[in-house]
Amino acid sequence: MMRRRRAAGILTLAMLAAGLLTAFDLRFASSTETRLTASSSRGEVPAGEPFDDYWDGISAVELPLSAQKMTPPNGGRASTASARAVHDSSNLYVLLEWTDSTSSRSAGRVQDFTDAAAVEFPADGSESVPALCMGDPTRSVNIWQWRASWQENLAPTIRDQYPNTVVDDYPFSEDPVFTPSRSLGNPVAPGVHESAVDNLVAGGFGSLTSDDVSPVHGIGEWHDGRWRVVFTRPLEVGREGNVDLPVGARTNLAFAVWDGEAEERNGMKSVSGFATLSVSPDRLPSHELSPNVIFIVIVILFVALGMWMIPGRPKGAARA
Amino acid sequence: MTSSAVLETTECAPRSSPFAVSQARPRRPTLVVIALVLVGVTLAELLLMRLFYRVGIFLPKEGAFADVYRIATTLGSFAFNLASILAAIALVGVAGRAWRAGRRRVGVAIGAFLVAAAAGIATKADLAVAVQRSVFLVLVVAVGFGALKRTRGSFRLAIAGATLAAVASAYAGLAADAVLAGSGGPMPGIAAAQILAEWASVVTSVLLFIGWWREPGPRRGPLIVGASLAALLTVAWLAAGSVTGILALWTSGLRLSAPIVVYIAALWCFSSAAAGWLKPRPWRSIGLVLLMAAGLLPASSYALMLVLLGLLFLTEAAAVGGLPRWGSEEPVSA
Repeated sequence: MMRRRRAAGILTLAMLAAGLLTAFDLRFASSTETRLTASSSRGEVPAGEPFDDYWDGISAVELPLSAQKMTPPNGGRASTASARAVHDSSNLYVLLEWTDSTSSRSAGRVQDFTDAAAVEFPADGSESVPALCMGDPTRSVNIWQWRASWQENLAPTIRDQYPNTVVDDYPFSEDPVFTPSRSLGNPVAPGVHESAVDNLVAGGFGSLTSDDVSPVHGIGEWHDGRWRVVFTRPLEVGREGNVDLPVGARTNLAFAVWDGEAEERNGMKSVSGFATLSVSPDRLPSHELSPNVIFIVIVILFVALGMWMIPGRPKGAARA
Repeated sequence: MTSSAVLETTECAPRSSPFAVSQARPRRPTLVVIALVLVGVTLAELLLMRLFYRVGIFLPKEGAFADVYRIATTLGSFAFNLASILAAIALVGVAGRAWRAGRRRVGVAIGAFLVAAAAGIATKADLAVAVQRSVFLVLVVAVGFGALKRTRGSFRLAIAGATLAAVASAYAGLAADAVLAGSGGPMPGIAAAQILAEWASVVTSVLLFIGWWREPGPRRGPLIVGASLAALLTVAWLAAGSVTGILALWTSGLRLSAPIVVYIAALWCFSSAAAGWLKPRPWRSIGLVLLMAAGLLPASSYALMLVLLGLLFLTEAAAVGGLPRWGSEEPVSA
């Protein structure tokens, strides 16, 4: 009877404690999460040079990508990307890296599609985890989408696409009457973009809207089958629908990539799950010592300690 | 008392069911009750949090679905917290038994693991998390490899495989932590360790099946249970391979780097053995369910607790003081 009471008492207390933890949204143990920490940079961040050695000194987080299957048009593939983040107290820099055997930089012809990448945040900068695909009606998301074609458009290359093109003189090329999509502000109308990154807000499927202002900048480089894109944005912009990320903030972020060669666009993309971004006040560690060697030594010591803890077989005892 | 009793915890135990210790309904020790509830709550967490919640992230939540989603995820969150607490209590119980059995270093190590886990949660400090995972590595080695001396045959190899999977997975977690702490570059062998853990899990499943086939011997029921789960995985893969793949990654940490047929066979072997040992070796069954629920997710202190308990139960804590019989406080083999 005593034993039953003890078990019942323990279970009751455990359920009570679990109920309190749940009510106050606390956790007794850590669940699986991918953490991306943006530490404070010790020097100037080479935002325009994604393959600079500086970035190799920042810890990368692996992000499994899967095909987007939740809403048509489906597409994408299973692969892996990696992300790094750093800040300089003014700007946040997020570097996304993924493999892509081809570099698709132009959407100048109708049969061409551009490589692209995006970062998504809950618009309120919390850890509330809205719906991954465009957020919820009550919890919107802020998306930064970099497009290789927009970056190329910073220096127009239509003649690269059609080198033998002969264009007659066209006197009204700057007249808005003859360029209606551009004059109406269609964000995907051909033209020169101020930034290669489209600053988007969304609150569910079909609600994706390009913000009038894009405080986000992005530079991408393709090298030996890998894209690296650096997104740069002020930590705080104080604009509705745009996430604010002051030092000390913790929020969620997710990534998506498009492979233009595979004709991916819109919902045809590879997506990651949500990771946790922490904007840390700590500085990036210096690398005067070799932490890897120290780490391996520590692991060996701990394993040796574990072996030492294994009790020996008592004398005279036979193996079962 | 314990040392001689522990020696017989695995292959030489009587074939009679621990459920039938006496004609009257057995009074189950507290640790048994906690373990049983833990299994149920862990499976609820697996279903509601790791599956429903994560799939729900991809869906817009409006109307009735928003209410269902909120209720289900609240229940899942409760199950997660309750499972975490029960796992910690069970570990304290095992630590207490180890201490009383003279295995005080193990008892202290389990205590240190729990303290480090709590410190990691409270402070979110990388150092606390790294210490927790280091102590976990120590305990896995002590519990798993320590039990090898007291077993034989394919079950012995299975314990070695399960321990190897846990060690490789723990290394991957430790190495990832070191990277997060800013070690200055990727640690060597993170992906290789994850693949090794995955393959060790697959091989272990087959060895467990062989061990169960030899003792207590094959029965139709467990084979059907295993085949049903394997068929479910097959259908899911054929219906939506990429979705199934990402769900496998999220729920169990498996990358499915080998052909899917390998994992289908491994699931059949693993679940058949888990179901087959339910009556003759209930601790083993519970251990296998906890190991399956934990998966290869080295970034979660919750999963680490489940792995540790899974290994302890699978080996019937042979190396650290033994577990109670189903109906009494005496060690399993007493």
